[in-house]
Amino acid sequence: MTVKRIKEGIYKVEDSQGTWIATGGFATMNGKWVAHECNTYEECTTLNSWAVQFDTFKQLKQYAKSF
Amino acid sequence: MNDKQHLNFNRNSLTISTLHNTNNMKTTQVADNQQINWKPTHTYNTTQIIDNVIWFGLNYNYDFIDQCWSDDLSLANHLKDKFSTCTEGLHKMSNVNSRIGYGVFTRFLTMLDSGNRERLYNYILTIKKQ
Repeated sequence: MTVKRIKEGIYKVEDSQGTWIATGGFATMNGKWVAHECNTYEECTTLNSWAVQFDTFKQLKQYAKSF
Repeated sequence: MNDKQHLNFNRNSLTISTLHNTNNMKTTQVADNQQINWKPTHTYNTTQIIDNVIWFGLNYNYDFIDQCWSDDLSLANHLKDKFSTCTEGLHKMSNVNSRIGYGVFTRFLTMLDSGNRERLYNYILTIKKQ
């Protein structure tokens, strides 16, 4: 899994199953961490959301590995 | 069930009833002889209630089952197993190994009985209010 910081609270992640955008902290209204299956932050929508939110980026990455 | 009997699923918010709606509660007709009477214990209107549930399903917290059924660990574990099958099922329907969770929560809802669905709805409305 490679993680590239786009800007504060927004990361582009590549793993064995594809590319996804992680957002959280200051980048989300409630500070929770969410993921979208897309290549850019601008492409993030409800339709490509993982639908689940976590307290930390670390938890989100662990969830990503569970598939 | 006669017209004076009613099934009160929840002391605060939801009543499925055959009673005539004699007060000012909002009423939704769901069947010829069934009505849902929403007893407002919060400031949400019907649209907001539905929106809250739907949007929660598109952005749920990872530990919502543990939180919602915190008083019954074995039931919580059972429901987490059910929830896992919703995720697995979604992946089987896709030709790519996607982690997109669109529809997972709705599938989970359909697996719950009315009592547990109501419990979940109340949990959602409670945390949305916070």
